[in-house]
Amino acid sequence: MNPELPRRTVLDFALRAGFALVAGGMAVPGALYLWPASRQGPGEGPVPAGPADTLTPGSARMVNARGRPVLVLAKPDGGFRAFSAICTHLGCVVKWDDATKTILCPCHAGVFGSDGKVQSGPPPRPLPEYDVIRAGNELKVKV
Amino acid sequence: MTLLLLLALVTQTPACGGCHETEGRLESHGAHAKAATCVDCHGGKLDAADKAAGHGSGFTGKISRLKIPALCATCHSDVRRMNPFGLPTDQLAQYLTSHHGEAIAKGDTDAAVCIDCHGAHGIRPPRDPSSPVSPANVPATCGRCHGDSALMSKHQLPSTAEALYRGSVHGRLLAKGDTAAPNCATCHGNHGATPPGFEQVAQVCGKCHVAPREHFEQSPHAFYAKDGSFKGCVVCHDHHRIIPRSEDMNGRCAPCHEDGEPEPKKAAELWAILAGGRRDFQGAKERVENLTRAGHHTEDELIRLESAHTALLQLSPMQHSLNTNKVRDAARELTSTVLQIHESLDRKAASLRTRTHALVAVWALLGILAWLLWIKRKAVMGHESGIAS
Repeated sequence: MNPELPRRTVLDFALRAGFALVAGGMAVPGALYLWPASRQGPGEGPVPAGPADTLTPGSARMVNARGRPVLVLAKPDGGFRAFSAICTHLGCVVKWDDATKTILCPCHAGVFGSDGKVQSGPPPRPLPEYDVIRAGNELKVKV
Repeated sequence: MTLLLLLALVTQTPACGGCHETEGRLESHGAHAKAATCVDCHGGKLDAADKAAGHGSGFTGKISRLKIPALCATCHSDVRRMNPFGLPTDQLAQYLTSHHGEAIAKGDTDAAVCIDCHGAHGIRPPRDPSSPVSPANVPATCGRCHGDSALMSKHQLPSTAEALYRGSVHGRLLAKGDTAAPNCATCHGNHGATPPGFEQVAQVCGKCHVAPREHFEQSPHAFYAKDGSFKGCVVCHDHHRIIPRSEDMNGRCAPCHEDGEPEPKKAAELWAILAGGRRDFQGAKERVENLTRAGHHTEDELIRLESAHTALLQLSPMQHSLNTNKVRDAARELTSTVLQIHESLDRKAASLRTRTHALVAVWALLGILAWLLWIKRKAVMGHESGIAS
């Protein structure tokens, strides 16, 4: 038996296996590229803001919009509005006050109306507003 | 009537301004240019043919300082005249309650009257940046008298207020161009300028610093502030040179509390909690920023960081309650959020390490493949040369 044969067989096998690994390594990112972007983490475009029917008129919901807190409000007439939940004074996270239907800053008692405008306190500017898109029962915020 | 008024306005400057050139030029650019004439303040006749007629009946010439507030008020307290301009009409009433107004009422001509702040001719509205009462110019306007050591010592008043204010947290904000920063009038009032009494200090500061005031009112200090034995905010933060932060407060307890007493220890404990909170937050913030730069998705950590930031900003006003348990509990919440951020970041950092190790393995694999290829090439070349020979 020629000793060269098993050596050559082993060499060929190692080469094939190696190239198969490299090809696999290249194919996986390609396949992931084709996979739906939402499964891989946040991307561009509107941010999901939850179902519309669970947000009753006059209530609000906090949404994580790519690391930024956004307050989505359900207007009494049935529409929706979204505002940045970062106070324009010193950057505290504001909260919806269901009793007064206002947006309150817990740090320096800034008060914003449900239209995002400053009602009282030190905030120098209204809360920035974002567009809300309703697709069926799903709400999305354009940030 | 309108035609006569227009004629009067048009002829005002040439008639008086013919001789009083500077005043005429200033008035033509001032807020009064379209609303008042020279005779409204100085009397006399506007459309006179000559100086004698102009300076004739009813002419008052230079107005006595003691009469200026009442003279300005003839228009500025007239609701019908002020309504079209949206101006308030209570300036004289406020002025009469001020220290300036009280001094004028006693015949003290050193006291400020309307023209000392607003100017006499060419008066500009406060929204005009060149106006001496525009927010950015107020400290200099007040400082013209209140920085005059000769004038102030005559009235047993300090002349350091403006200089101290310029170095204060408020003054530095104003110098940066933030016209919303408090100026002299924010605390003292403008027309009714009066230094706030000790019992009012917390209210005056609390107009803007709402949260610290609320916490202060729950503190043991509040009781003594009400009975006048504790001077409120200014004891620790001083007045005019307003000290902003607790780190600069060392020794501020000393006038009332001695070193061995429990209160300075409590203050030190509060500051230590605050300093720890700031350090924890800063550490988490830097880590999140580093991992974001490294390409990780850090949206969840950023949201938690916003919550931690909010908790941190609530800590500082809370120290005014002097309630260490309350501050410690709030700091614990902050620490808990910061810990959650670190745990989450640890997982991501571990993933980053795994990827780095995987990269080493990939490079090793590629190296081995290259080596195998080289052996294969040698084998093929050897086989071909064997056939050829």
